[in-house]
Amino acid sequence: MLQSIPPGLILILGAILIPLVPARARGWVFLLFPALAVAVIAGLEHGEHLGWSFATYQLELLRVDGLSLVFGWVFALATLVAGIYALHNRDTGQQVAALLYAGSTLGATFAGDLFTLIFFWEIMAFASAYLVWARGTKEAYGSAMRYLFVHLFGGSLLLGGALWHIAETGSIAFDAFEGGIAAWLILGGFAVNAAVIPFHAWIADAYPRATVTGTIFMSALTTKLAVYTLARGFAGWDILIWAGCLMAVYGVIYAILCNDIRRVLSYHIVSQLGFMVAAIGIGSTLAIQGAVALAITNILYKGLLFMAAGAVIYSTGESRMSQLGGLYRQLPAVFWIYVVAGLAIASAPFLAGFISKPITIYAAEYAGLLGVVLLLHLVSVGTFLSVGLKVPYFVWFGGEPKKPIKPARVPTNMYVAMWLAVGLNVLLGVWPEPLYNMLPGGAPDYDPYTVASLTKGFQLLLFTALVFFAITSYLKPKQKIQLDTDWFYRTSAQLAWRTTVVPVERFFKWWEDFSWDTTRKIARRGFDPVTWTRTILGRPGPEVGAPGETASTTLRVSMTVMMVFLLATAAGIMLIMVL
Amino acid sequence: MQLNIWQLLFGFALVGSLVLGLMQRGEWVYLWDFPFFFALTGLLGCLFLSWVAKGLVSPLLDRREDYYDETEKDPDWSTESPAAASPATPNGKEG
Repeated sequence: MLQSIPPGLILILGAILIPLVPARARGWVFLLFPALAVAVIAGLEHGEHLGWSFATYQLELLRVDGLSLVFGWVFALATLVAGIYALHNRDTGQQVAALLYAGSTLGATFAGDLFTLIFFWEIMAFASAYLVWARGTKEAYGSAMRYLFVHLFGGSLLLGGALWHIAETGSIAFDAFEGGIAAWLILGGFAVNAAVIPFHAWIADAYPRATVTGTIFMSALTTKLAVYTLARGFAGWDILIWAGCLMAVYGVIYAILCNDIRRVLSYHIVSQLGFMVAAIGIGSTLAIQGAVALAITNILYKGLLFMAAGAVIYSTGESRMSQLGGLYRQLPAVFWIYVVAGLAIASAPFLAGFISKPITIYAAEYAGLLGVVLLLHLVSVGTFLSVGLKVPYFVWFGGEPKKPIKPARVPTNMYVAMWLAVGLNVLLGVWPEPLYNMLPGGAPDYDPYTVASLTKGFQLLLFTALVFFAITSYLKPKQKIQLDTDWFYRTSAQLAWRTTVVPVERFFKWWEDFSWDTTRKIARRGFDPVTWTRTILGRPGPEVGAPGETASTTLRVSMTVMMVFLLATAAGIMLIMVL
Repeated sequence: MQLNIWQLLFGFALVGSLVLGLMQRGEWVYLWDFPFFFALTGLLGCLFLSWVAKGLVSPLLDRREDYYDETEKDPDWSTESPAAASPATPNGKEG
């Protein structure tokens, strides 16, 4: 009787129950809920649906079709693997937040109407912000707050668009949108979560600051759900092609520059999302299949990359490549795991990326977008360069760490989760049929393994590597950060302070100083007019009444002063009478 | 120049991928049907992207780590990593 239960609710129930479990068992009990969700999803069939009357609306809590089912599968599986990775973590807050986050993601995936979607969308924002916050440092707190505000902004666009849409059409169904202001607002809401430029900076701000285990959930869920919603609502919108191309190039250039390992990976998410968004913009069946296949495989290898990076951070307590190096002696297994993921994301043959990314490029070629094809090939080079070569070289080889590092032992559960993900990456790479058959619209008209495609793959990777090894010193990471669009909102508070408060404050300070100064001067003159007059007359002398001053000189000076005053007064009176 | 086994294998693979490209005789419809197109893309693309990132973008957008007035200069991982909670000292004793 597991059918027609929204799988998201199982995880949310888990979030409620898990604080009651003793700390020692909590990690294991955590795993029960995603496992149960996987079982429920395995039992779902196309066309299944669960409605619920709420006020005057008929909500659709469960809508199962090709698109929602494949995403539901991978979200539940990713939660399970991330749960294994986080098994050693006994922070109740993070466990509750992770279950709530994954549950609301699944809830949004299977949502058939806009209200249900928005409800879960907002819970996701809060639950995932907690995973950044849980790091407990000052920077993480700032990042979490910015993350939350950016997502609430996106959520408001979505809510505004949805209300407008419902007022216009009278329908709350979440299906493909036609156009108009309502659709553009909703697109804006989705674009924030899909990290479309310029709304992408939250990803590189928050993910590197989140907890080691929390980032695994985040990298799998938020952005890929946005890909799902874009594919459902906005397939074939031309603007997405160009937005996607921009994201692909922009993300990869920042990834080449960054110093923090997880920031490299975060920027690279933007680049990979670019492929998916561009494919959704193309909108053909093949392109959508490519976008979905890429999103699914991306969760597997990007999650694995974050897990390996997390293992390095856990073990060394350092996240910047400029401070790391030569770790191969201490963490060889993590190196090989990372290399598999790095090759997979660069779509090396026999790994998951090889069977998914070329579909999107092929779809662009099929649609006659030759410029897009060339650009995506170029970005593929950058992918391998930044994630596949630069990070492993400068972390595991490339000199010695700046400070001596004594790596801690990486917990076994982390290794188990990573090897599981390695297995899934290899399995999908050599046996793509299960994924292909699940794609919306049936298996795509694409054969990944031809001699030509293998040749292309090998040539691209090998020659990129050749250049990389020739210019490694040029690419050495610098101990710097890079400005991005978050500069605008991170500095705007300071800017407002500087443009409004500071000048006013400065003016009043000047005025105060000036008036005090003037008053003081006048007061001093008034206190001793004799000395002042003598100074003016050019006959400075000792102060009146000072020792050594005789009575006669005092009298003489006083008389002179009096004469001067009298003359001045007379001259003044005459002047007034003449006038 | 002394080459190790990995460098030799890498060299063979490079040549092999070019030979594989030559062996496929198909029609040249698009630019990328040229046998060495992907080798060239890898070669030139890698140089180009490195130059754009390091030569153009980096001088413009690089800032000190504490630019935003946060203490990112030495990120605190002590809540996450046992190694950071008890950092190694140069003589190998735990702090």
